[in-house]
Parts: sequence; structure tokens; C-alpha cells
Amino acid sequence: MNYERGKKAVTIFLVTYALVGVGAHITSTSTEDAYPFFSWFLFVTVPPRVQSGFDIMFVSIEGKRLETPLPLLSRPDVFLSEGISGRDLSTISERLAHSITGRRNDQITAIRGEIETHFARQASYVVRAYSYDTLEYFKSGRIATSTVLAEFLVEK
Amino acid sequence: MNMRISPTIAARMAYERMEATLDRFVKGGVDFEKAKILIPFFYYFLFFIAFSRLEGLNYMIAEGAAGFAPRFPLFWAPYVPYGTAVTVVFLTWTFSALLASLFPYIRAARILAFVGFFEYHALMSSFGTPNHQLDHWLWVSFILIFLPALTREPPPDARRTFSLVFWGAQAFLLLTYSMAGISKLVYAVIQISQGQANAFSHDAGALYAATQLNLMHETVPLANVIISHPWLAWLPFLCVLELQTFALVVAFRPQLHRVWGLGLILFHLGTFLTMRAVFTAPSGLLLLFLLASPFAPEKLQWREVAFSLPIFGRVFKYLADKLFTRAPNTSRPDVP
Repeated sequence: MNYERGKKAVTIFLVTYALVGVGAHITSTSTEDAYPFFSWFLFVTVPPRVQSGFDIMFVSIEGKRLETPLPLLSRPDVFLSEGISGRDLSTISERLAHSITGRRNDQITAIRGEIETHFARQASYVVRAYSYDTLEYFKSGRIATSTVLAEFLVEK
Repeated sequence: MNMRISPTIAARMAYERMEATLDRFVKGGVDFEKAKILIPFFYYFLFFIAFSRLEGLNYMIAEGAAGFAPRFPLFWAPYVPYGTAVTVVFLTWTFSALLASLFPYIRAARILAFVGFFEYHALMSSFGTPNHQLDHWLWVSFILIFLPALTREPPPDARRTFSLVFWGAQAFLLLTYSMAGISKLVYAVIQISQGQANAFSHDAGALYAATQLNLMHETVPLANVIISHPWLAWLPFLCVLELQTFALVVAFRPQLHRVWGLGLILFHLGTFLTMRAVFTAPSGLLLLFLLASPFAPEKLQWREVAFSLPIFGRVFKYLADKLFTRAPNTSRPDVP
């Protein structure tokens, strides 16, 4: 390869990389790009000032009502977290919430099974939809609004 | 008469202009000497990364093959036990990177280093969505395969081609940042049109940081500062947009290579310290290929740097001309 040909080769390479990387991202139906090309579309959207989400919280353990709902992972004596991470729980919460709001009973039963298999003791839990100011939530953990979508009792 | 230029001719004109710019600083002289010194360090770094990652070999085997969906470079992996495949990949990369460290100017060694690295990169990418930390390193190791062979007294064309390949690696690095920056600008326009917080909002940086850290249930040293005072992150964030979007332009402006290298390293440092975005690997390449750019002038002329800045350079030049250009003095009598 000589210098003159090299300039053309470099140009073709750069253009190809950009086109394949971006093109794969735009045309792909999944989050995948065309390995090993990549679009470099990272953190492209600024998160909203008010965000919403779903969570699952204990409201009673062995018949005793809790003063404040507790995250499942905060009670390792009640919820055995082996094989399930915080991120997994977030995903499951969202799926369960959507199933509840969509009244898909089969899905509700199946997803409940995924969660309740980790319960070691009798407990009740709620599925909540909540919204919060993004910055305020980081500073103080304060949730702006919270709605209980469903409550479930697990017998052990 | 209305003259319309076809896209093909416009592209050709742009290419010729690019070529002419490149020919001005890719000379095959001092730039070649400097580039030649830097190349072995790429492989030294690569070996260091490979050897450091070797620590994870036992852990990866112990974790097992759950979720393992081999990428195409690992087409052979399903035919051997998982532990064997992982061991072969880790060791191949380490030893091929070591070989290239010893013989960086031998193409065969560079090819082996790339292949070993590609296998490792594919392995790491075979568990769901790839982590892109090492993408730049992978592609640069591919580009460097094309460095020409060097004799004791390389002819001028070989020297110039060597510099050109080095520049190709620089340009690739900068291209990826431009892709990131342009995508942010495009989505900023979309978000502005929808009345949402966007990349130009005063609290954009704080919103990124708070969202990431809320998700990860973590914090980092500067997070509290910028989330409590979002305005502090506004100007740095706009600077990041400039750094990223115009990165590829900087490939053609050697006087900006060092400034951009430093800027992008600070960008990665900043995103770690504010939102725990871990993207440390590219920094090594930014040091080697931009901060130590063989095309950058020996001495930085700050006026030259300021006037070369994309977009703002023209503004600075205009202001400098207006403020510092003296009008001709017509009040003194002519001296006989």
C-alpha cells in the first residue's frame, strides 16, 4: 500500500465504519448494533426532570404490619437474594406492574412465582407505581407520588 | 446563472480538500520518527491490559457458561468445553500481545495480536449487550496491521504511509467521539421540539448524574456538588458537546491534537467523578495518539489554537481582529 492508495483506504474505512455503525443502530429492532461496529449513541437523551418507576416493597412480615414499607433486598432474612440482583428486581417490578395494569392474570401468576420463590418467611408485599423529581430523589430519597397497584400475601 | 453541484462532485471536492490538508502535515519526516517511537507503546499498553485481565480467568470459568452466546469470531468455541475456550482465549491474547510488544514492526506479530484481542473482545461480548470499553483498542490494533514494513533506510513513501496509518488510527478515535457528539445534538433537537430537558438545558449534566446514580444506588465525589448546583455542570457539558461533535474535524488540525486529547481525557475523568461512568480504557489511546501526537507542533501558539477551534475559532479571530487591529495613523505629517 502506498501513500496515495493509503489515503483512499483510510477514507473508505472511516466512512464504512460510520455508515455501518449508525445504520445498524437505526435499522436494528434490538439494542444491538452490528458487532464489532458500534454507533456510539451513548447517553443521547437527557433524562426527564420527573421520572416514574415501579417497585416491590414489604408491608408486613409474619403478620406484623410494617410502619414503613421496606425494599425486598433490605430483609435478607425474609427475601433470599441468591440469583437475583437489584437490577433484576427492577425489571421484574416493571413487568409485574404492567401485567397488573393490563389485567393479564396469567402473567401476574407467572411473575409472582419468580419473586415468591425467594421468600423464606410469610410476608405481604405491594407493587407500587411512583414518581419523583430526579434531582430531589438523589438528594433526599423523597418520592413525590406513590400508588399501590396490588398487594400480595405469601404464605410460608 | 445558477450552478448546482451534484453530490458526487461535492463529495469529490471535499475529498480533495481533505487530501490537500492531510498532505500538509503528514510528511514522513519528523512526524514519521515520532510515530515510529510511539507504536511499540501501543503494544506495551495492550500487553499490560491483557495481563491485567488475566486475573479474571478463574472467575469467568467459575461463573459458567450461563448466557454464553458466542460471537462469530468464536465459531470454534461450541466444540470445546467452556473452560477450555475461555482459557485459550485469555492466554492467546496475552501471549500474542507480548509477541507484538517484542516485535511491533513485524506485521505478522501485529496480526496475531489483533486476532488474539478480537477473540477476547468477542468472548467478553458474548454475554448479552457488549461492553464497548475496549472497542477503540480493538479497531486501532486492526488499523496498525497496515503499517508498512520498514527497512533500515525506509524510502520516503514508506515513511509517509507509516505516518498516514498512524493518522488513520487518530482519525478513527476522533470519529467515534464525533458520532457520539452528533447523536447527542440530533436528540437534543428532538427533545427541544418535545419541550423536554435536553443537552442544552442548564441541568442536563445533573440529570444524567442523578439518574445513573439513582439506578446504581451509588455516589461519587462530585455528584453531590453538581446535583445540588446544576449550573456548575452546564458550561463543562457544553464544552463536552463541542469536544465530541467536532472531534473528527480536529483530526485535520494538528495544532488542536493535544488540546483535544486532554479535553477528552478530562471528559472521561469528569463522567466518572460525576456519574460513575467507567470508560477508562480509551484514555490510554488518547494519551498515545493525541496528547503525544507526532503531527502536533513542538510549541503551542495559543493564538493559533484559539483561532483553530471549530466554530468558536472564527468568533475569536473576528473579535481579535476587531479589538487588536490598529487603524492606519493619518494624523502625523509626512516625514520628508
